[in-house]
Amino acid sequence: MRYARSLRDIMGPKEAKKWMEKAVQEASGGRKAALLSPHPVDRVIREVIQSSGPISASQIDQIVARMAQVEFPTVKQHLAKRIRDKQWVETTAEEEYLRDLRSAILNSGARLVVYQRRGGNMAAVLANTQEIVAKTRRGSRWQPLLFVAYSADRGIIVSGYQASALEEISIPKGAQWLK
Amino acid sequence: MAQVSTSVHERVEFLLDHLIQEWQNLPEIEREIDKWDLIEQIDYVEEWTPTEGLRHELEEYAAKGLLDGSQRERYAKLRRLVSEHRPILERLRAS
Repeated sequence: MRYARSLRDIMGPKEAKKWMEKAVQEASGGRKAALLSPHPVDRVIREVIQSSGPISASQIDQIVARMAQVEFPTVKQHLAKRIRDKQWVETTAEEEYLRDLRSAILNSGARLVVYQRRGGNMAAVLANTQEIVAKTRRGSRWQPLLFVAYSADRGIIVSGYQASALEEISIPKGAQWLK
Repeated sequence: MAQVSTSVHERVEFLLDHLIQEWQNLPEIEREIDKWDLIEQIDYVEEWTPTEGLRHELEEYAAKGLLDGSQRERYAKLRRLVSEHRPILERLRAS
């Protein structure tokens, strides 16, 4: 990833890999990073992606609730990038950024999509930035859409950023919009 | 060239350095990305959305004539890289 690439540049590839694995393991309760999350909701997400089968309203609610509770191991690094991008103001605290992402996930008007990225099973939320991020925390180049990407394989948030349009996000073909 | 504030000049410097590096790295990353941890791979691909946002920001500065001679040269280099490596990025983002 770009963050890890930066780490690779600074720390060398071995140290950067070790650091990333440690962060992911800590967030997943010490389980080996290579293992799939055994959480029942993560299994549902994987099944929906792999079978393209039907999903109930209650299961959608469970996915949303799960995504809003999980850790974001690289929140600090991602917030630094979002400040660099001028999407959030410089004074934004990690807790505020994370709260914004979780508010997006729980927002009643947000859209929910599941898809495969690099062979991994993903769920993501797309919300209206103006409804989520307080005006005082929006950077000078804030964007209208707020996107949060979740790994149903590891049970962690992977990324959270603003985008100018859905087409800019490049959600892969075969994605299923659940709401 | 229009009168440019120090902050805009520095921002353009950052954007050029960062974007040229990102686009230059694409061929090597396409060769290596399968060896990375899954989450690293996903994050790398997802993060290209804000990276493209930075490129649009730079385009705006260029369109307003806010780049100096050296910056215009590097901007032309960036545009060549974007044109050359765009198919790599599209493959990665579709995966």
